[in-house]
Amino acid sequence: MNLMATILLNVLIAFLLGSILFGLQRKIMARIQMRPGPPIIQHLLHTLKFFVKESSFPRTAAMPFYVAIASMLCAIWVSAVIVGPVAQGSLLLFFGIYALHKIVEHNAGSSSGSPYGKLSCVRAVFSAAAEVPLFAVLIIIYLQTNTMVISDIISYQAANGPLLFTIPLAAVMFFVLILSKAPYSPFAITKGKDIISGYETEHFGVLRGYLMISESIAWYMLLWVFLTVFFGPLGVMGYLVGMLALSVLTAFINATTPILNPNHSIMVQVTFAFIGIFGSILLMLAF
Amino acid sequence: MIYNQENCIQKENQKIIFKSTKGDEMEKLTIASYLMFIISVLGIFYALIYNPASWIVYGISIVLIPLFILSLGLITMARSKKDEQDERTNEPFIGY
Repeated sequence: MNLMATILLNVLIAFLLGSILFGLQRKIMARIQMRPGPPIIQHLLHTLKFFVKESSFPRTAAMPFYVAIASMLCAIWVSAVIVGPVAQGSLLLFFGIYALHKIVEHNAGSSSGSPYGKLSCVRAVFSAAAEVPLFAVLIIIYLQTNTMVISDIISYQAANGPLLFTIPLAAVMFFVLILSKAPYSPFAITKGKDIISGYETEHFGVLRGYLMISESIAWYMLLWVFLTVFFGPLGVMGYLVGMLALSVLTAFINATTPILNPNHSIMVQVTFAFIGIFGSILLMLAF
Repeated sequence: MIYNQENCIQKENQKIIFKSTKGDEMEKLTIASYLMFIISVLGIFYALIYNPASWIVYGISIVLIPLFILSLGLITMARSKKDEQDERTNEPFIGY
């Protein structure tokens, strides 16, 4: 298939599946709270609804940066789709994409001029502490497989079995990272309800829909990377089942835990990182 | 907003109000949206039909796919009626 067509198809799948998985999370969380909850396609419907709503652009917004930063979020996660499913490139690029995501959260909050956005902007800087476990995961994967390239990691796992069993603590650290990106998670300090919607508070209509599209793609990509790096070569059904399982698990955790305050959120993530790093090194030395 | 003679009307009782410029801004936004849409569609079709080198396709995808989505949203988003535009910009003073 033509490369551009492959990219377009993968972006479309990432958006649709990511939206459905977000909707499924909301449904599960509602059921745990003994509510019926919205339909599973609600997140997708909301995205499309916001996309065609009348939009307002705040007077305090730093134009055109305020619009450009929403575009940047979409651009980085389209890059992730290219690095991941399309080209199966280097995990280091994925680390860079995740770092840029933090920068976008920061700047989306500050560009709107809203005090809630500014609080979220500061919390986005704090939450860069989540980069520590991600960096640790990449190093541990490199130490185990001698490569950072996704296609080579898949080949390594085809020969030696899933990395989930050889470096389980790295998988736990990556899972904590995924959890930090899930809605209503204990680590979702940039979009906590105590600051309304954080950096998204003053993004209305089209821009809110645009941000939701990017977040759906981001969710799909985080799950895809986790499954590919820790489970190895999977078919379409394998990815579907894996993504469903991860989304259900995060929904259970999010429904039963409170959102931590920013300091506690960072300390917990950094603690997980330290346990993961030292534990993984000990395991690698022992075996 | 910057206070200057172009966008302020000073009334007899010295109250300053902003001239509504929302109509002009929306027109500029519509023109810009259509331009972005045409450029992004042309770029994506070029990559689909001519299948250039990988790095060109990656560049087109990273820049033009987000631009396409943004421009589509700006074109399809609902707009206020002309007689309601003033309401959106000039908020009534409701006291503190």
